[in-house]
Amino acid sequence: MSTPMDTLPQLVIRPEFENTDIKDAHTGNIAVELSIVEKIWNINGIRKAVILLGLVITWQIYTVALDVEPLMFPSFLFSLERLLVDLFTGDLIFKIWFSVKVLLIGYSAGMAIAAVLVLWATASRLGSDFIATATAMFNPLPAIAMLPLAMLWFGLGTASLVFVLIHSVLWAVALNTHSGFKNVTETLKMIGENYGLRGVPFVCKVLVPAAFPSILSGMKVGWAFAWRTLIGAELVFGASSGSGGLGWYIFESSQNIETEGVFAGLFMVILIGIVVENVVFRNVELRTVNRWGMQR
Amino acid sequence: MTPVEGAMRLKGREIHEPGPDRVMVFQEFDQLLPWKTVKQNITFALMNGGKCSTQKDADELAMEYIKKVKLDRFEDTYPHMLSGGMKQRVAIARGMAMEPDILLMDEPFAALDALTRLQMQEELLQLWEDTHFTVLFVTHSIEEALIVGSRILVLSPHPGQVKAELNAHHLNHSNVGDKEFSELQSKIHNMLFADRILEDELAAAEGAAQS
Amino acid sequence: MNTLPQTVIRPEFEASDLDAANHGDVARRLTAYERLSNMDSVRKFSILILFIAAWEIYTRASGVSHFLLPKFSDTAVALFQAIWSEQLLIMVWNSITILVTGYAIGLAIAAVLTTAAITTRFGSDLLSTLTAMLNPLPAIALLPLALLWFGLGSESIVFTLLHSVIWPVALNAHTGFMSVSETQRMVGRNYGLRGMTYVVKLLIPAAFPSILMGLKIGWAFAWRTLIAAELVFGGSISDTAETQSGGLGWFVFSNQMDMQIPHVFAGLFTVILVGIFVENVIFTNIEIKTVRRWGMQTS
Repeated sequence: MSTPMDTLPQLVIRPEFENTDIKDAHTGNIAVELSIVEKIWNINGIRKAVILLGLVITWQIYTVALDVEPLMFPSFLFSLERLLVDLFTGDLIFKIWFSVKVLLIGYSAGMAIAAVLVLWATASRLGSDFIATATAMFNPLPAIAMLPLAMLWFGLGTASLVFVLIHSVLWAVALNTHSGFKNVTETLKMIGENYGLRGVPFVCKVLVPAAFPSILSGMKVGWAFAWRTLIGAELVFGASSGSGGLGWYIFESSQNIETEGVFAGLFMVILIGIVVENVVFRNVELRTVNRWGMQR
Repeated sequence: MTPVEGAMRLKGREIHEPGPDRVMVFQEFDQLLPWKTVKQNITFALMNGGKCSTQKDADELAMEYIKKVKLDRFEDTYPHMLSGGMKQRVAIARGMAMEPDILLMDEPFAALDALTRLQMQEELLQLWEDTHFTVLFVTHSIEEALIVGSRILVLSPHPGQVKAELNAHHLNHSNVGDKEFSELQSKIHNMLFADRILEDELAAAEGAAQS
Repeated sequence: MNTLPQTVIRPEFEASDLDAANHGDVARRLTAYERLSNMDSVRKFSILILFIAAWEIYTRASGVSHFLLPKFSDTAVALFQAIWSEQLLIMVWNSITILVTGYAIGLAIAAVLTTAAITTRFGSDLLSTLTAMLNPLPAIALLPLALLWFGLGSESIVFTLLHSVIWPVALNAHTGFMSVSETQRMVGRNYGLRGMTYVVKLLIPAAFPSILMGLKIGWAFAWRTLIAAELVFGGSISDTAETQSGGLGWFVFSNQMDMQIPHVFAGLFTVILVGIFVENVIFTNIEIKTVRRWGMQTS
């Protein structure tokens, strides 16, 4: 559809010119100073804290004003009171420690096995196939489903819990680490080899830092699965026998129809989850992935 | 964004926001929608920008411009498989297919390697011969401005103001190295760097005054 | 100056007979073994076969109690038995229907929350606050509460499933939307897209890798929550539910109570098979037709 030359818009040739007195131009600052309220409201944390406060107040008013049956839906303050009482005068703190301790053992063991598997996978094709096959089979299997089996093999006790926790952590971490290693750019790997790195030092000094965003992501997923498996497992244990732990505390409260205890337990679970994700993992992120400018 | 002072007008009408009669070609490669093929990227613009009302019209017009930028055979390829130069050609085809009142190009060739850049400048000039669109082309390369541009606006650094408007409609690749070309090039170079030197001097004087 | 390496000036030359150079093909044919073992699926399948063979040999040779580790052949037999005469497929169906119900409702709620989050700053803050608090809470911990509120029945499970789906999906979708590059947003607005069409035609496809990842994580959490819920309360729930046979988690649990260990393993296999099917068939297919075809990596 090319139009012939004379129907196309014609070039208009205008005279040239030069400005010589640019320095005298009027310029100024048009930024508007924010009011003090706007400045405070701009802080993310403030807005979210206000929302949180709003939700809590709404909860309190709803339960008190509508006189909701406390066995169904206790007020916020009632639940908070129960939490503080059990925390400071009851043995809730020991139950929490029990849960956290088991979690740490399972998590570290899972990470260690994952490290071994991934090392094998980087060293040989057989290892790589093994990890791919094993993760494909075991990753879709919820760790909690292994609990009946674990109880059969290791009895009712911490060993079963740890076994199940390892399963929940191992495959997520191994999968993410392995794929992270595979995605390290060829250029970075060549640089490592150029400066004489081979074998284990190569893995530690080049692959691990380069794949760190993936590894960290795997560790976060592993933590999420482990935490869920632990609480779930303690609930199952609770259903089949008495035992320690935070999940068991929640189960016990629900069996005694002490709903404020259930909420107290849930508060604690949320608190621990928030601390791990927003304090522990966030700090690790700040010092590594963020500082190095490597976002996922 | 509303201006604090002054106004932007296109064909006499004031404008306040982006729109399809003033199409933009960006510098970044991710201006192409990765989930659409080359042809679909162009028909997306045509259908949503209101230029074509039926898919059939859009497809035909898109293929025409794809041929103009010499990417026929690639109309069903996804952008991630194209080279940088090819991606920019698609972006230009997409912009030109809209036949906008003005085509805005923000350093479209800056991310390409030197040889591809020369080739793209040639092709853009040929495209322009065909269509005579109004193009606002931003560049930091004085040579590129002289080759590609008909009329050059030289802007001063902070705050940006028009320092000069010069004619370059008679210059293209074949003039590179000619006396007239080199003189104009030096003239613009001096304009830009005189300003820079002045800025540096002012900054040094300020620094000396404070210490 | 005289201790530095000196520039050596060598005579110039031009090669004129380039076509006459000797070159040939260095590639050699791969042997049949090499070609076979180069195929991923062949190698992985062989590993699987080896694993099964090792399992069978170990159980027969070491005389370990079949209450601890049944033979693979016994497990396979139990699996077929369960499918043909013990309603295993119906139990799988029960689990899947509850899962899909919870998943679908959860997606809808997540969509509403995410839309609110991208249109207003309040919506964004609300979503961040809720997600920060509720995402780290294992859904299974809500089951006792759900049972108190909704009684024994599938509503409790669906309620719990909702929680496991909404937060990961909304979080990932929101992050995906936030990371759409400025250039792509400008392109959308340049061609006249506004409001709902802008969200649907530009933001959603551009954020699709993140959205898909959220959907996968949501599925993973929902599946785990479901199995856990059926394990813990499967007995009490299935007695009152309309479907008398319960779900997959209940199958595993009840067989363990009855010490039918090969059936326990058969149940675990089924759990694995369902998980593999959803992840490697359904989700991978979606990935192939979208994210991989478009060459878009997760941001």
